[in-house]
Amino acid sequence: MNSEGKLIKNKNGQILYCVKILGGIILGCLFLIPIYMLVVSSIKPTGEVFDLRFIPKTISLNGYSLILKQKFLRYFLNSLFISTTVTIVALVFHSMAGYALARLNFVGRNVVFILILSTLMIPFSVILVPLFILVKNFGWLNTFKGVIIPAIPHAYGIFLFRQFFLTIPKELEEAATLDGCSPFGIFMRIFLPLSKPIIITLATAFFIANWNNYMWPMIVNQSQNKWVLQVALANYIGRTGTPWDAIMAGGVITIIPIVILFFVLQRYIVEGIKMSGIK
Amino acid sequence: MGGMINNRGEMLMSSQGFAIGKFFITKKRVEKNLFAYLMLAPDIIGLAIFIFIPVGVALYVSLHEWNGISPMKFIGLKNYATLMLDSQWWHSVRITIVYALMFVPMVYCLSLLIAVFLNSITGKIQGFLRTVYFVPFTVSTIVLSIIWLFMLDPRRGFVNEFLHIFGIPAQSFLGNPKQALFCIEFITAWTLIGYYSIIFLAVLKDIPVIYYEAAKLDGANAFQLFKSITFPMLKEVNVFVLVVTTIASFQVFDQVKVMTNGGPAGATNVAVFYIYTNAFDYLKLGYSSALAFVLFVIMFVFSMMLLKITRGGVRE
Repeated sequence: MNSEGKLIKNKNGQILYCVKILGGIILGCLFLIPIYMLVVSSIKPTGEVFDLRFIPKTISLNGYSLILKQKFLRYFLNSLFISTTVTIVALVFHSMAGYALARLNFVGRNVVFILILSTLMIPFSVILVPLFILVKNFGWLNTFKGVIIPAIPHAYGIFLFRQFFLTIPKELEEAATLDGCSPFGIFMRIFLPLSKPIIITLATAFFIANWNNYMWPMIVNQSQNKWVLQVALANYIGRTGTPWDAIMAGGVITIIPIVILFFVLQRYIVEGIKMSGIK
Repeated sequence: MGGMINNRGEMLMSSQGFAIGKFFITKKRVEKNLFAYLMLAPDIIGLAIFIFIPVGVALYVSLHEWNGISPMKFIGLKNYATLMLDSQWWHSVRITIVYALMFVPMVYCLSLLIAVFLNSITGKIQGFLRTVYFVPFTVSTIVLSIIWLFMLDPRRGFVNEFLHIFGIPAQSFLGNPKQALFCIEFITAWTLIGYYSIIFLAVLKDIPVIYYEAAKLDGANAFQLFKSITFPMLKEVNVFVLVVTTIASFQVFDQVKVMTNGGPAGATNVAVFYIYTNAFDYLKLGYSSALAFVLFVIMFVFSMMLLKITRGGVRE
């Protein structure tokens, strides 16, 4: 190919590239406009929510003050408490289980591993009723325990920890063993410090999943004091008389922690998605 | 736990050094197994109590008539016989299958298309657009429902205003039995496409550029490149995405509960919603457990069929 041909090709390539980027941005707008409308409507006065302006004519925080009067702060703290507790306890349990499955030789390892994985096949609808009966018999209805404890055991976290621990070189372990380190010591002093990436990935995944969970907290906690954000919001939608700007404000408050988490830890979230899809 | 860990280093070495340790139950071997199971215990016990036992209980309850308060009455397979003739249940199953048949191809094609598109651009803009497409995924189903109830408002909503520009009359969307299911589908897809395109993109990025260059030298066009190189390389991830989205579409519930509550006129009364209503509104706990098992079987058959098709289709 002569240099002139190459130049023409480059120029065409550049135009094509620009068209592509433009298309990509328009597509991006389709993804973002609905969320933008949520945010912008939350700061409009009640009467102007449906004027559909991209930039509000008048800014009003009426929605926020309305929603905060409805004990929304309480629901926020409930959500925060539940999601944080599940995340921390789950990380401790799953890292232990993942370590055992990846690094310890014991009788029945494969059977245990397959049994754990098989739980991923069980749809929540199958165990819904028994789980409800169980939690009721434990006396956990309308308690945080009832939401938190059943949410902790989950094969996904165990599996990803196992996969991660399998990649850690054996030499490290052997050297520590020679130095007289116990298996538990190896886990605490070698494996855990090395697993920062997977811990952050799973922590964000667990936190987001529990923060956004709706069905189970709705079934367990009927009493209003124990509501989480999602349940409270769903109730406002169903109830007539809650103005749209207040509902929108509630929605914004609900997504703020997740959006912050997402932008700070984006890299780890993407890593986690890739791991769950490919391995 | 302290005592168990003592002399651990010595112990491991001896068990590696002598094959004999495999055949005799030594104190050290017992300790080693004990340690492993102690590490696994919290999760194993948790999964047993909150998943395995409930599955067993569900099977047991499904053989009974029970409202959750009065004593259970054993009725054998009667619940299963009843559901066979329950036209409302099969209506729900049909809706769910229709939902899956539209939802799975839609999410699959759009995510793959976006991933291929993202893969064809380079640099920071790729990462930026990927992030933008992913944002809806982080929004909870409830907030998502709020957003779209607003966007799709029959009288003054954003989408209707937009259609108005093109002279299309206002639609009632979620209030229209013919449109409601599709709207829910579209809304759910809107949140998931960014997620699945990240998965596709990760795989696409791993395909060696050499393959494409070699094929281009042989004069292959873009479509041929996709058909002969890209698509076969996606085999594993195709199976993953198709199976996971199929399972997810059989489980759809939250959106329906909040946006349409099964309506209008039962148009979005999907299977899990019907199961939920039977359990918590009609208090037919035994019956709803039976329904859940049947749904599980249907879902399982669908996933297996899908596995067969995708495996077979790629091999040739």
